[in-house]
Amino acid sequence: MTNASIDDLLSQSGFDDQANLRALLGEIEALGAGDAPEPSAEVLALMVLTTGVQQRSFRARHRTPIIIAAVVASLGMGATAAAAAVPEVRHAAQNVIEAVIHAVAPDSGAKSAPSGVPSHQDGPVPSTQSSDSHGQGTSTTTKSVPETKSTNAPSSPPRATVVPANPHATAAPVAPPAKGLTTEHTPPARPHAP
Amino acid sequence: MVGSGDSNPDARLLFTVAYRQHAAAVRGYLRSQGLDDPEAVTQDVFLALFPRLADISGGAEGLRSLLFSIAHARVVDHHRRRSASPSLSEYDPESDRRTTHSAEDVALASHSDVEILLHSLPDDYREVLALRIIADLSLEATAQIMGRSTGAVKQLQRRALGVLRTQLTMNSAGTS
Repeated sequence: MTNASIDDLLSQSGFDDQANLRALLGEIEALGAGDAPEPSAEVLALMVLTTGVQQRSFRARHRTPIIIAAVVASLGMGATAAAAAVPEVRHAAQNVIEAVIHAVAPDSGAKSAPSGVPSHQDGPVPSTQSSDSHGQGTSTTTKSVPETKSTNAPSSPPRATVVPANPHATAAPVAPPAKGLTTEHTPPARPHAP
Repeated sequence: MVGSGDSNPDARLLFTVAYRQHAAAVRGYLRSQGLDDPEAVTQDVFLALFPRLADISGGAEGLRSLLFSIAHARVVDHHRRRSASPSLSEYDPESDRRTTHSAEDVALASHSDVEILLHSLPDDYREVLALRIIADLSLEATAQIMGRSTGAVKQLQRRALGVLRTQLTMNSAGTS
């Protein structure tokens, strides 16, 4: 209510000349002044929030971390691609990986038999040829899972079946790699120095 | 007329504007009527307003009239409950201040002078002054909310102002 409205109210009631009464009505009017109270969650759910400050502040608060994360991710992918294209970097990375595998599991990894050939610790060596007798089976020489079945193992030459019981025997024969299996751990041939 | 409903953007926008413009006045009106928790009842009033936005006619004056008619109903319910049952509260020694102040002193200290003056008025006097001044409603709208004729409201406000003037005269005579 404005001062004019208060004056109207006073004039309607015949109290035009009451200054102290006008001041008191101004104090009554002030009870309804001030900022709106904070809306409750139920009221807030019914209000239009797109015009509020909360969403702007949310975007401003999260913009910088998102940009940083995007830049770091793009730089990381670029550096990975560039490193993979250089053979020296590939070899160095492979040596590091082999060293780590050797440190974690010394009896396997780098000095293990080629893939496709069962390790000495993998349990009993199949004494008979498996059904996959053409050397095209997938490698199952995982060091942590003992093999109980040899159906997936590629075939080995007949002399590989006489592996001694002691896996730490020094003269333990090592089965040659099966034909057709890849030997990815073998470093590429380097030209000899003259 | 605006359709209501949770998905109606017009209703939500109108509700938001109504809250920002009138929530403080609704709280002041409820406070002038002596409600215990005017902030919470203000939220209830606006929650009751939202499904009735489609009933609004008469523009801003119609919105304000509907809003304060809801608030008036809450005030009537409050006084009815308070008269029907005594107010009980658990005794808490920590909040017992009778050794320092009387209950009357505490009650008076939590309200401003104008609130104390309003609470000394009869209910309908206090109501008509609050609707006319705090809610800024016209004589006709006030009459509709209070369920009286315009002439009766005019008479009521004149008597209320007369009582206030008498109180002011007594207070000024007491202090001088």
